[in-house]
Amino acid sequence: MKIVDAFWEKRNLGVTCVEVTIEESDTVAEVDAVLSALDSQYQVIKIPVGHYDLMATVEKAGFSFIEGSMNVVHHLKNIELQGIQKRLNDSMSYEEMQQEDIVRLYAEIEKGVFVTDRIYLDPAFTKAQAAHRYFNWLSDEVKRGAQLYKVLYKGAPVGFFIFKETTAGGCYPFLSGLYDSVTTPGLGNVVLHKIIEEASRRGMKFISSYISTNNMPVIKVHISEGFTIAQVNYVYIKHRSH
Amino acid sequence: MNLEKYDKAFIAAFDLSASELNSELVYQSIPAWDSVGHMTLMSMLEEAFDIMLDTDDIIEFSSYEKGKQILGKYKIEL
Repeated sequence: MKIVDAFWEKRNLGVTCVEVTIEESDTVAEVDAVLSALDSQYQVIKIPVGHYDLMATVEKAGFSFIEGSMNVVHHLKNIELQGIQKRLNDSMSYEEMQQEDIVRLYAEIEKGVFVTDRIYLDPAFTKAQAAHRYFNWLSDEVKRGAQLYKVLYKGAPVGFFIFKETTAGGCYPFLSGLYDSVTTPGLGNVVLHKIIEEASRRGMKFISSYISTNNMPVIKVHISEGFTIAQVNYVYIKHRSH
Repeated sequence: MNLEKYDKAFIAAFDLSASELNSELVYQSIPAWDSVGHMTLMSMLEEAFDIMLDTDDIIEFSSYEKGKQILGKYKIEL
């Protein structure tokens, strides 16, 4: 079991937070003991799938299910597209963001580009808090070396992705999206494929990412681009007032 | 004939009934018409009408009705 003091959520959300990741070998008694000792205002528990006994334990302790977190992986083989997908992809390019692009990205995030994560969907938090959390997360990762890219169609930015290399020869594109998904049908695949192209160009061995089961369109795009599911965790939350 | 082919593509791509094909059917108005569903629909229309859609048209194909206008550019009357 991993227990992390998610102190950054105090800045993001204004609450103390603990994140507990339960592992396959953890017993009901061990989990029960840990849960009863938690006193953070916002508590997050992740349980690997297939453990009903542990799910029942956390529910009995007052936790609510909020999402499944899927770890998806692409091994960067056979990345060539065919037919209409290739034509659409070839009509778009990507390049690193300049300062004015970064300003726009931050503005879009503050407006609320992401609407399926566990903070956005949780009525205990506001939409502004959810957006602000992304803003802070992105700022932190850029300081740690993540790179920001814009995806262009006929010279105009239509989407973005954030690229972060990991130590094991892989990369973690922790944030990507479209600036206006409603008026640009079919571009979800293109943005994801540009991430695959960039990882391949850099000679990476794999891409590893996390997606929420609350976001069906994103799950479908990842599967259609050749990602496979490596692991799924059920995520439970609990709020405790002090 | 052309309208029948057009409707069949929507029905097959999104698992709809004929009664659901109307002016309210727009991109993202149903779960099936997302980014992946959109590309399935575009492929089916290209095959059904033996055309190659321009990328502008793929991106602007935002509704059942708008699609009829776009196919008109390829001399397909619906």
